[in-house]
Amino acid sequence: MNRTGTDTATHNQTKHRSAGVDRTAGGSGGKFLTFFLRGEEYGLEILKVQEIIGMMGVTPVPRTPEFICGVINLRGKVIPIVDLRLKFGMESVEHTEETCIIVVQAQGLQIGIVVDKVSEVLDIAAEDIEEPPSFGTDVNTDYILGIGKSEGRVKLLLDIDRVLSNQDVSAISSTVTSEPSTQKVEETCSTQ
Amino acid sequence: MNTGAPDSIESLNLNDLATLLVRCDLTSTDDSKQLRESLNVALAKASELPRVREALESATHHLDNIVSGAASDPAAVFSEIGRLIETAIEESEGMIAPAGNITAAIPNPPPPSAAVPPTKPDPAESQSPSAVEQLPADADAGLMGEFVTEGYEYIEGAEAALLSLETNPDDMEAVNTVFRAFHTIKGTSAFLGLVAISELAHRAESLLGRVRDREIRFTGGYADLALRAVDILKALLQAIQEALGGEPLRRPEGYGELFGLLENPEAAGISSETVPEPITPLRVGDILVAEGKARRDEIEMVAVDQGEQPIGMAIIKSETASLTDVAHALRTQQQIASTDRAVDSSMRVRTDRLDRLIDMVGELVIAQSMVAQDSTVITGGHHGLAKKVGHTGKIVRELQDLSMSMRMVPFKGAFQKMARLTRDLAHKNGKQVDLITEGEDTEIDRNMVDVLNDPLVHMVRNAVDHGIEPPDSRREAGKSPVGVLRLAAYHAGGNVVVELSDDGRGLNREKIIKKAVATGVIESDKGMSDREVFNLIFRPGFSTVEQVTDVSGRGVGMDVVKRGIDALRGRVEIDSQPGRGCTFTIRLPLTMAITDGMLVRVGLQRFIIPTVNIHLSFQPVAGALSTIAGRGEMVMLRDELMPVFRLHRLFGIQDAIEDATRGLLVVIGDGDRRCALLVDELLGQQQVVAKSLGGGIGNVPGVSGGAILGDGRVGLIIDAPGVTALARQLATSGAEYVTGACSLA
Repeated sequence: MNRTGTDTATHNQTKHRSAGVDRTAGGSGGKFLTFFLRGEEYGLEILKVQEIIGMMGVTPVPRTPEFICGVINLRGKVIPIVDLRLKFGMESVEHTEETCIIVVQAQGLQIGIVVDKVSEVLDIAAEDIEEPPSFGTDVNTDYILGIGKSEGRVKLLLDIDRVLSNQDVSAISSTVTSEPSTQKVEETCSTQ
Repeated sequence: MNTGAPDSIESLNLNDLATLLVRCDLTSTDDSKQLRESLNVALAKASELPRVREALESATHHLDNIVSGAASDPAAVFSEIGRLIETAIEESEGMIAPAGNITAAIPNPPPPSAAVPPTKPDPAESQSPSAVEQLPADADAGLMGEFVTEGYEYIEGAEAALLSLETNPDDMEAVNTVFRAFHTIKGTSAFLGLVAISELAHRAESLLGRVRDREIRFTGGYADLALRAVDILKALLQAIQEALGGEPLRRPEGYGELFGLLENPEAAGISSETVPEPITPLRVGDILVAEGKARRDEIEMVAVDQGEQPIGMAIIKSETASLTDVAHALRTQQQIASTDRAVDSSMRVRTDRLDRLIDMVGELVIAQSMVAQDSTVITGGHHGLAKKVGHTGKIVRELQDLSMSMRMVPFKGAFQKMARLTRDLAHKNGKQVDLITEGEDTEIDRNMVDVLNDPLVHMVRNAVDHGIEPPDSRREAGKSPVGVLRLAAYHAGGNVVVELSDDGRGLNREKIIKKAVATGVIESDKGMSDREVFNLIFRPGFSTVEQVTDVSGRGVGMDVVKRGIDALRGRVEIDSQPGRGCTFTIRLPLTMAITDGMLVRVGLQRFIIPTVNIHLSFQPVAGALSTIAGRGEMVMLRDELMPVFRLHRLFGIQDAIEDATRGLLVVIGDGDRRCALLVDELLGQQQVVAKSLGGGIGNVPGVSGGAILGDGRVGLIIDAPGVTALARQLATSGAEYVTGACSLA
């Protein structure tokens, strides 16, 4: 399935064999797929990743939140695509050759997430992962598993289930069904 | 006949050898080989017994002659082998211990010659088991689930067979089917520790066993008893299913009573027409007698003290007939039996796997057409390639047909349920009704059969309860006292048509109108055709019956019919003639897997509108469009004013045509909910496989799902009622339009 991921994973396993034990012991260490988003490096638990595919034609779905790009055809299965940049409130950018869709299994569902660039599969031991820092009440850090340190760099390890949590899904349906008047957006469409 | 191969050839003794010979097919080399091996084994064992050995050696020699083709008359040589083995058996009698279990060598003892089924109830079982029961502590939910599924299948088969016995009580094949159903359920439930089921099944089996042995005839009280047993077993299965979900395991009502009845039906006054020991043409003995190879009284003597062994062996041992004759008779018997057993083999596959397969094949078709339409293939120069692609296309299409047919099931099962229902309802209402079914083999998508079941039940109930008159009224009206209900299924014009007609009193137009006016559904029947009036009965809560019975009359029935058929994207029509009866005609699409759709373009996006929702599409002239109160747009079409909704505004799509006279209006919806959707253009008709948008997105108003289009991208399927509702909601709340679609296009 995830050819890229597995190959790198095997490669890394030889380098950090001891770390594999930590995952079971400490519970938070293990293998992470890292990727870039606006120059910052993030990590996803490798077990949540199903495959990585190149950017492809996305069909927009009307009346869904902005961060939902739409749906794609994944070998005959229709799966939703979330733009992680928009989800995190970053500005949208033109897609490049390196823009990828990472297909993840979150809450039993297949969801694709759009990232700027996929980096590598890293083994991060539990002792190299720190608790997410507190930025005060304004910043919600629930969706961060921890801060991973590897080779002198810092990676934000994401809890993808929380990132794409049910609240989002319910938020989608409530925004479109309950009170359409609050959804009123500036008129870009010319009047009749 | 190499089916009789014992598990281990070493365990053979001479008696088994004789059996093997009896079952051996002369023309089959496999059989000959097996016989030869058995002979060798026997030879090795008989090394201490010179005379046995001699006979066997001679037999081996003869067999070799047959195999090599040296024997001029194989049949004669074959009988010689038989004679030699007989000699060997005689010689070895008393020297070799008799076989522990001869029957084991014959996996399927032919029923007529088989041992007597358990007809007498065990006195230890005569008491009804206790009414409270628990699922066995070590119950395996998976096994139980499988047992329940399997049990239902057997019960369904048994019901069909029981019904055919109604008309033909001597149909032994049907008796055997029911017997087998009870027997299998008994066996499995006993294995799973389900005492209540296994004991009831045991007694029901005993009853059927008596029928099978011609001890009793399957009529009157016995038939009802068997039907009740099937009902209770079904209820028990359901109880187990519920128990698996955590409910307490309850005995269904009437279990104890039936249990007692089954123990000794005659004591409870159930009528019996005991037939004296009848003649079964299938018995080995009978075949022998018929062929003049043995005398009846001799055979019967043998049958009395045959004990544990098959009758064929007993006859041979008692020297009533020769081995060859018995072999011949057995073969004749098997020929008769095998013609009855020619059943299509099948296996069960999980529905979700099948659905996935069909989905994948659908995608394969699309992927193949993408290849076929690729410019490299189309624009000459590659004749070889084009040919290969064409060939692949043929295979793919055949594969698609095949995969679609896998999900098709005949109406038979559904119709059989109706037969049972009709019988019970008629009984309850004191009416006489014959159900005639036609086209039982017409096939329909499996998922649809399940949905269709409810509407059918309500229609049959309605017909028996209200349509068909009691026998007396029928006689007065000059009709046969027996009402006829006709259930037919056939293919017509790409649809499946199901017709249910009765010859009862028909719908009463005046009564329906009176009721409709009284409840305010209509003001008067002015200008209403019969058909329009009859369609009123599909409204929720509409019933003209003064008395509510437990069968029908609450006015929910016809509403269910309409909703069920709507869900299947079908149509229902009523034809009725007073005093002559009423016919319901249901037209359904062949399958739900494929949606016929119209591909439309709005801006850069494409959508599919299901063809069934589209009335027509037209390009409006400027004068036909008007705006009401500066907001609501309307269009005039053939004197009908309907609202116009711009799809691009509803869905927030840029770059779409703003000038309605340059675009196209597609009229969707029904009656007063009719409206026109503005789209840029129609791209053509297309069949698509409807899919869900994936769990993450939830319900999107106005969109019912997605489909993979010819270029591999996803196209959204428009949910016509949803779009209309959304547009109305937005119009009333004042929101002009909403962006929500993300910037990725």
